[in-house]
This record gives sequence, structure tokens and C-alpha cells, in this order.
Amino acid sequence: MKTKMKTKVFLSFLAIAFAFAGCKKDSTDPETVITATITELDAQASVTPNPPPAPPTITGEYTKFSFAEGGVVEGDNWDVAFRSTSIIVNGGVASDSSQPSRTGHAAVYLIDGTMAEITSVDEALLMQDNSNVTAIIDDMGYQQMGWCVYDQTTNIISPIAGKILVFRTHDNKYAKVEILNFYDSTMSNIYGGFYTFNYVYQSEEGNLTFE
Amino acid sequence: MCFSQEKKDSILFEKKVKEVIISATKSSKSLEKLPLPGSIINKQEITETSSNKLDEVIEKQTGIVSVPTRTGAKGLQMQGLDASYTAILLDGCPMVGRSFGALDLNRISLADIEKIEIIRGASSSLYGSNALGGVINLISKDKVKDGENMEFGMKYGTNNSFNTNVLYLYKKGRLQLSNSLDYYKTDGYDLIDSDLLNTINPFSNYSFRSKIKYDLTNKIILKANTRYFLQEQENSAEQGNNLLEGKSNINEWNAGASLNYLMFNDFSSEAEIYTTNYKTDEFLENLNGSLFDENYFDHTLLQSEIKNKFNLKKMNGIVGFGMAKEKLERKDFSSIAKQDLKFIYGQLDYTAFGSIDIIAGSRYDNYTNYDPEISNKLALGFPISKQIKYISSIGTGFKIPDFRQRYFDFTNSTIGYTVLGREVAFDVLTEMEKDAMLQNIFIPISEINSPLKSETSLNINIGIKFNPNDKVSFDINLFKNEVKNLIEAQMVATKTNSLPVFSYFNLNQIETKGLEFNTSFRPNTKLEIKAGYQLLYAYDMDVKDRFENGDMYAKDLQTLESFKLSKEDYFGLFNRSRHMGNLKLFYNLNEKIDLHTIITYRSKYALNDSNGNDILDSYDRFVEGYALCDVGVAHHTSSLRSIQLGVKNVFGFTNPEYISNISGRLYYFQIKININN
Repeated sequence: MKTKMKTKVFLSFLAIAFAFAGCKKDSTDPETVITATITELDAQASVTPNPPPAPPTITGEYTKFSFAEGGVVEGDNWDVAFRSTSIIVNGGVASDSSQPSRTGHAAVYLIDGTMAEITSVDEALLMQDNSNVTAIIDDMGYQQMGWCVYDQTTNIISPIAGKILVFRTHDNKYAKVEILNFYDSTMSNIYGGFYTFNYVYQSEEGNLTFE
Repeated sequence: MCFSQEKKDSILFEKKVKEVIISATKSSKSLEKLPLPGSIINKQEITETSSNKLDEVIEKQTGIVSVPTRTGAKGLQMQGLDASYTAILLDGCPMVGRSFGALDLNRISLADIEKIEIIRGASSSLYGSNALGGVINLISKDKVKDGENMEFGMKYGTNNSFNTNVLYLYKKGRLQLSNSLDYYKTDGYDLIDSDLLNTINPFSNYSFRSKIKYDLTNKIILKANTRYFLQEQENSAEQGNNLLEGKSNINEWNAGASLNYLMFNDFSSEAEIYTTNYKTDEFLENLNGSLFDENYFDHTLLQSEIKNKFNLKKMNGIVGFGMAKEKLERKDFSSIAKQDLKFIYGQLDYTAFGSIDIIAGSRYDNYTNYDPEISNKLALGFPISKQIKYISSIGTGFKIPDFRQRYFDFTNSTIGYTVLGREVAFDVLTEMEKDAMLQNIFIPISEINSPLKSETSLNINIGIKFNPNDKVSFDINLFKNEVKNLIEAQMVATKTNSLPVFSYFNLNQIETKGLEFNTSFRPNTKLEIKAGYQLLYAYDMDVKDRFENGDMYAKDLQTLESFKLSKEDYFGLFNRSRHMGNLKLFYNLNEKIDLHTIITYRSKYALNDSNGNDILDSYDRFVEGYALCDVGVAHHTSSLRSIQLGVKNVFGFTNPEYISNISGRLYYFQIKININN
């Protein structure tokens, strides 16, 4: 407990120091923190409709994403992969045979807050997928244990407000993500699967802060 | 309907008559002396507004909202509590047959109804389960004039709605009869053209009710009644671009008999037996005529009760006991669901020091397999001055988990998500786990091996009745309801096909509180103005705590980014309006012509969340507030005949997206004929 407190104090001290430093160094140092928005990342699954309120049956490939690349990747350098409401990381063990192979150290946790409030990574919270369950629970929005909520009257899946995903990437860097939307602008797929999200990526290895 | 007589009695034109309410004590009690929030919709209001079905008149009352259920039926919300918490009684006997907790108010014909009594607040101490939030009791005519009397009404209106009813009353010597027949049909309506479905499908229904009363001796009265209701409705659903069609039928009957023995002048005993059955059958067919889906529901209640009443000068009392058997057979129950109940209750109604009214009552309900429930009520009323009376009451109520929450065993046949009633969940889940059919278990199965608890409520009312003179009256009532152990479905596990398994749990606690205000004003013998207002705050207590702790967020509707909410941002439960009001004007132009206008208002509310937190906060998208206005005119061509013309929803308000039970402007024309003999 004490050590934790100390770390926290130390971290916030660091954060302040960084903030200070940041102000001054802005123009000289290369910026290690990258902020971006990804719009309508296509992670549609093959969806077999079931009569409501049953959620659909979902099969198909995962769409792999790399924070360093800022887009979809095909190789093993992915950090996170999406398929419909399911989110997996390039780390840990697959819980189902349709998931891509994992070679990295990625991990993730879900925390309450806004993007601005989450300023650093709490390593103790990081989890990897295991053979039973993914680190980000995919409940299809039924119980709000994951990142989304399913509205049984409108059949719409929405990102839960105030949920930030904090990632360790496959190569031990950090990123935070806020999912904004699960549908494309034309609502071309009523089951969604189009991720629009904001992310902040700390490209400096070992740096646990996003500032 | 019998205009010649009614007219003279009508409170509009005469000094206010002393109204009597039965529901609060199970015997006649002066409304003025009642220390509870009770109110009466009298025959005049029913007649003048051309209301033939309960929904038409009840939704014009202060603090009562008619809310559409998922099946299109209309239920009601009272003091901010859901339809499932209000007991609907016909001459004191409970009606059954609810869909998602709501009893369709259009089922109830007002042809032989003399008045509708409304008790707001927990009434389980007299009526047991289902009266957790209040009671609506429809009272039919008890005293009939000698000879034969017939009332005939016919009404036609927009949507090809047709309603006709006949009431036949007879009294000779010791025998009294009442028979009524009501037929209603409508083409329904469609608010959204772009889909294949109607908002309300065409339907027609018949109801028949017969009552007989016979005074065996001066001291022994025998009563019997029977009612039959039959409804046929087109059924349809959209699947892909195909329209599935079928029928949805309701068959309902009830029958009761009672023997009342006035043993002494001040003591009587009544034995009553009552039974009712509500049955639905529905199906949908594919285009090629093959069966797509069918459904049935068959609910029976048999109840017997002994009521012993004593009436002393200052003290009236009742002690009752009885038993009930209930049975539900329906699709997706693994077996027929049954429950037995034994109950006993007592209530004292005491006037102390000449002017202090006290009601104290308790009821003990013992359902098989459940812990007994004890419900209490204490009410106190006393005059502060000649014109002002203080009333207050506190009561507890309960609602036993319904059969669906206990015995449902439903697995979607084509794909296979599952919903399990709490009493079958443990066995089914254990079996599924053994067969390795479960993937993730979110709630340990061992935790499901206990029955659900009843939902319980605590209700408090504090009010003032102010009658400065014969022309004006004001009632104000502050109310609060706390409902605990609310039962809701929750995901227990996912199956290997990744689909969820749900069961039912006692989860939330809610609170509704507010203020109800009613006033009536009769400046002269020609005009009566009534106005009502309800202020309502309704909260989920867990959500409220989360707001207090500051961990609630919402998505900005433009940027979709999250931001923190402050505790003032919690609006409350879905489908509750902060403000509701009504204004009713009844004007007697001359001997022959009556006019009325009714305006009801409901402020903004929301049916679902729109900003990513599953709760209603001030940044959500709301259903806009709205007002409805009805006008009508009655022309009494003679003392026995009248014609009524009117428009409901004069401004043609609709909201196709959110409000399915408001159909737009409705014109109607009604003829009433009274035959006296």
C-alpha cells in the first residue's frame, strides 16, 4: 500500500515535471505521444440474425490493428483485433479457433473515466486474454461488463460512456482508446461492426504516461 | 345514462353530494372522512366524456398515465409506479391476465359501471399482492330502481370504431337484476406508413356481464355475477420483407357469488367465492400458410373469502380471511405453474374525539413456498379548522414474483438463447454445465438456488383537504414510494454458441416521490372546473448512488466523446414525466345542452437512453412534452334521449416514433336512449 502511494506520488510528480518540461521542450523534442481518430474501422462479422431480443450469431475473421501503424495490419505486428463486439489483444491465449495467432505482449484493461482523466497506465490492471475469456469481456452489451451496451428496445449497440481501454501494445508500448461509435454513418449494417475511436499512443518504450 | 334522474343528482348542478368510497375499507365510507388519498370518477364524468371503456376515462385522471406495453395493450402508471403494481378490481374482485405486467384497460367496459374508485398508495393490507402501488376498483350499480330500465348507447367514430352497449336493469320485490352487453370494433390505425405493420391492428370485442341480487330475508342477501369477454384481433409481424399474418384471441370470464348475513344490527358476515380465467391464443403464419409461431396463455384464479364486519357508532371494523388457488399454463413453461395462498386481514376504522379519523389494518399472506408477507397500513386524519383537514397514511405493500419470473423455460428454437425462471434456472443450468454447454458463467450457479424474494414497498402520503366553501375545494397530497427487490432479468452465462442465458434476480431499489394537487371550482350551477397537477421524481437508488459518487459519464451527442456528469444531471427513471396536469371544464349551456373540454398535459420523458450510459440524464434525447385536448357537446333531446358529438385530440397530435397509443384526431358521434318502465 505504502509503496503504491509512493509510486503514485512519484508518478504525479513525474507528470507535473513532464508537463512543465513539455511546455518548454515542445518545439525542440520529437513528440512521442500520437493522438488520432480512426473512423469506421471495418470489423463486420458474418452475422446471422436471430429474432429479438436474441443477439445474432457471429462468425468470421478478426480485423487487426496496430497503434504504431495507425491502421489495419496483416502481419504479427498487430496490437488489438476487432470482430463485431469482440475485442482481443496480441498477447495471452486464444479462446476460440477463429482468432488470429498471437506473438506479442499486448494486454489491456477497461477503466472508468474520460480520455483527459486517464493520464497514465496502471500496469497492475493489465490483463491478457486467456483460454476461457477475453480480457475485455464480450457480453454483446447485455450486461455492460465490456465496452458496450445493447438497447433491447432499439436493438442498437452503443459504447458505454466513460469507458477507456488502456492497452499495452505487442511491443510493450502503451495506448488509450475511447470507442465513439459502432456503426457507419449510413447504418449499412444494422449489426454494426464499424469502429470509430479516438486513441492516444505513447510511442516511447517504457513511458507510462500519455502527456 | 338515465338522464332524467342522473341530471338532478349530478353534482354539477346541485350542491356537492356526499360521495361514498368502498375500496378503502371494503365497506361504504364517506370520501370526505377518508384519511387516505382516494378519489372517485363519478358517473357524470364517465357519461359526459362519452367514455365506454376504462382506458378512455382513467387516462384523464391526475397522475395517471396510460402507457403502451410491448404488445400494444394499454397499462397505467400511478404515482410513478409501473402498471404491474396496481390491482384492477371489478366490484372488489381482482382481474387477471396481464401482459408484461399491464392489464389492458380497453378490456373493461363501463356499460354497467356506476363509478370508478382509485386508491393511491400501497393497499396490500387489504388486497394483498399486486396492490403494492394502489387499487382501481370499478363499482357497478348496487341499488336499482323498481321496475324495468333499459339504457342503450351507440357510438361511431374515426378509424371505423363502433361501440354499442345495452344495459338492462330490473327490480321487483326482493329480486334485482343487471345485464349488460357491450360490443366494440375498430379498424385500428397506422402511424408509420413506411413499414408493413399497423400500429394497432383491427380488433373487435364483446363483453357481457350479468348480476343478480336477491334478498332471501331482510337479513340475508344473495348475490351472483358473471362476466364474459371475447376479443379477436389480427396479428402480424414483419420478418425481413415478408409480412406474417395471423390472429390473436382473448377469452376471459369471471364468476362470483356471495352470501351476506346481517346477524345483528351492527354485525354482518359475508362469504364470497370468485373465479376468473383469462386465456389467449395467437398464431402467425408464413406467406404460404404454414405456421410460423403460436402462443397460448391460460391463467385461472379461484378465491374464497369470508368478511366479518361490525359497525359501531364510532368504530367500524372488518376481519377477513380466505384462500386462493392460481394456475398458469402457457407456452414455454416446463410444467403448469401453480400457487396457493392463504390470507387473513383485519382493519379498524375509528373516529376518535368526534373528529379524528383513524384507519389501521394488517394483512398476512402465506403463499406456498414463500415466506409469509405482512402488510400494514395506518392512516390518520383530523380537522385543523372548519375548512381544512389534514390526512396522512403510511403503508407497506408487496408483489409476489410472477409466474414468468419463476417458471419461464424458454429457448429460442432456431438459434437458442435462453431465458430461465428462477425456480427452474438452477436445475437447467446445472444440467447444461454437466453437458458442457456453457462457455462463460458470470453468476455462480449456486447463487441461483434460492427463490426470488417478493418486491416490497413502503408508501407515505401526507395531505391537506381545503374546502373554503361549497364552491371550491383543494386537495394536496405529498407522496413517496420506496420499492425494494425489484425483479429484473440478468445474464447468468453464455452458451457455447456464445448466446446468453438469462434468469431473474432481485436487483434494484426505486423511489418515486412527488406531489399531487387537485382542485374543483363551481362558480355557479352551470359551470364546473376541475384541475389537477402531479409533480414526480422517480429514481433508481443504485443509479442515484453512482451519481452521488461521481462515477457517471455520458457521451456528447455531437463528438461522441465521454464527459463526466454531475449529480444534478440524473433525470430519473424512464417513461416518467416530471410534470403532468389536466384541466376539465363542464358547462351546462341550457336545459338541453352540455359542453365539455378536457386538456391533459405530460412533460418530457424518455423511453430509452441515447448517450451511452443506459440511464436517463439531462443530456439525453427526450420525447417532447405534449398536451391533448378533447371537446364534446351533448344534446339532450328529451329526458330519455341524447346525442353526443365530440373530438378527441382536437389538434391531432401524434408522435409515431415514440407514442404508439395516441392515434391522432378522433371524431365520434353517440346516441343514448333510456327506456323506463
